[in-house]
Amino acid sequence: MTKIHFILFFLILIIGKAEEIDGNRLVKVVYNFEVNEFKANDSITIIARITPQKDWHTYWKNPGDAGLATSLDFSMPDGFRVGDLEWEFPHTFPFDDMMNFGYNETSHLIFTIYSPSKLPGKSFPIIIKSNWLVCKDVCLPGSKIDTLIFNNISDIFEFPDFQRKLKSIRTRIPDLINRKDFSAQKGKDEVILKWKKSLKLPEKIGVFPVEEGIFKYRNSYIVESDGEFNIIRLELDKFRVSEPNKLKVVLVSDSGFGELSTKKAIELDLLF
Amino acid sequence: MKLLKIIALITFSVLISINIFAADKAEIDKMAPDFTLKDQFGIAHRLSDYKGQIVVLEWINFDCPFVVKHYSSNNMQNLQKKYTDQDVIWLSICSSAEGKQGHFSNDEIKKRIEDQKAKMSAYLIDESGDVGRMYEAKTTPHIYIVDKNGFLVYAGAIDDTKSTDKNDIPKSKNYVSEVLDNLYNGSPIKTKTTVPYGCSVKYK
Repeated sequence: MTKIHFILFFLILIIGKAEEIDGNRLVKVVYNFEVNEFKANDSITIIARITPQKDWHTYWKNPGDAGLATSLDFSMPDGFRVGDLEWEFPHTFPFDDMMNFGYNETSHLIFTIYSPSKLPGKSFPIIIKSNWLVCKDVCLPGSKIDTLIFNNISDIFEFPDFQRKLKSIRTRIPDLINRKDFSAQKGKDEVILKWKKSLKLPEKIGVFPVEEGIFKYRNSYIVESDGEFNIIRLELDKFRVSEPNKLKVVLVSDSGFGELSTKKAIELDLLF
Repeated sequence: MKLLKIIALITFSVLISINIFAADKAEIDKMAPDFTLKDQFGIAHRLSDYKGQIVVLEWINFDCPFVVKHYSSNNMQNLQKKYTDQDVIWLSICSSAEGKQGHFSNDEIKKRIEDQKAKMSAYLIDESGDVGRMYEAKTTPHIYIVDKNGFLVYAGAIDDTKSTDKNDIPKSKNYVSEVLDNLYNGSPIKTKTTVPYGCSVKYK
């Protein structure tokens, strides 16, 4: 093999390697927290900042017709526990006749870790494995393991102005609304979400069912008028996994929800 | 009057013969919509030709990481072998359109099947996506099971662990095994629908 052949062979190898798409590299996950010290019976809120590469998207807790929700697996010292994940409201990703829910820009998961009454020493790790599916026309799985060391300064610690950031991110976490102005009822092949017109909600509302396998997902829903009420009809999936007895749904509007919430998204949990 | 009856009878017979009363969309506990698709050898397979046998329809895209999970672990091949040995017909259907992920030439399909040591009864090519849409197949894998009488008795996921990690398979509940075993034992099928998980079917 001549020198030129060798260089060409080497270049082809490098180019070939570079063209392999690696799902682990398509998403960046960074953790942010205000303090890295735990006291006994304490809690620390952590933000996972998840950024897919341009043109790719990750998934919401209900990924829609296909895909997979991003998940976090925790390995913590005995007695520690983690609270529920808080999810930002998603966007729709129509794909042929199907609808996926997720994020094509930076999104955040917020969670709180609670410490026990007795701590396991001066310094201890909390290990978080983040798992994602990242898609555009194809999908790739990816994961990353981070070890957050408490009582040690870590390079993962990033935001000096954590509370301001947290407040800003929480504007995208749906507001749980518990008001009698909303109701839901089940029809033959649909669930009807109903609210009083006097609430003056926007006419264009994004609808994201929280539970999987119940509804046929749509990119847009029509707000209909029904006397003193407005209604949205959510069609039931004919392959639904169970008959719903409640409607848990996130509503999203760019123009907000007036007197109900200052946020762009609200969450309703309505029993029939 | 008699003439009218004869015309009605002839019309009815013609409609039956062209299968107009067959379901055009899949629904649980209804007759599975009939279809004819060719395999990689150009041989046509018609679902209704397998009446009298249990049929598994598996939507497939060999490059989807969820499909890779079940083939690289041999989970799918083991299921295919176990149940085709018991006279089940296992049809793997690829609805990927030309130019999209999972669409292969006939030679490439043969190679993939050989490399994977896949044991499906037939690999069917649905590049128009018509059959996939008729069944509303959303993901790969997405499984449908048709009983001996031609009724659709299951639609959904292969198992209950939504992941691409093959290490999850041993701890998963396999819905396909459960339904097929119930059909063999004559037991009622407890779970007829589950939420499928996987890549979206790459329709045209």
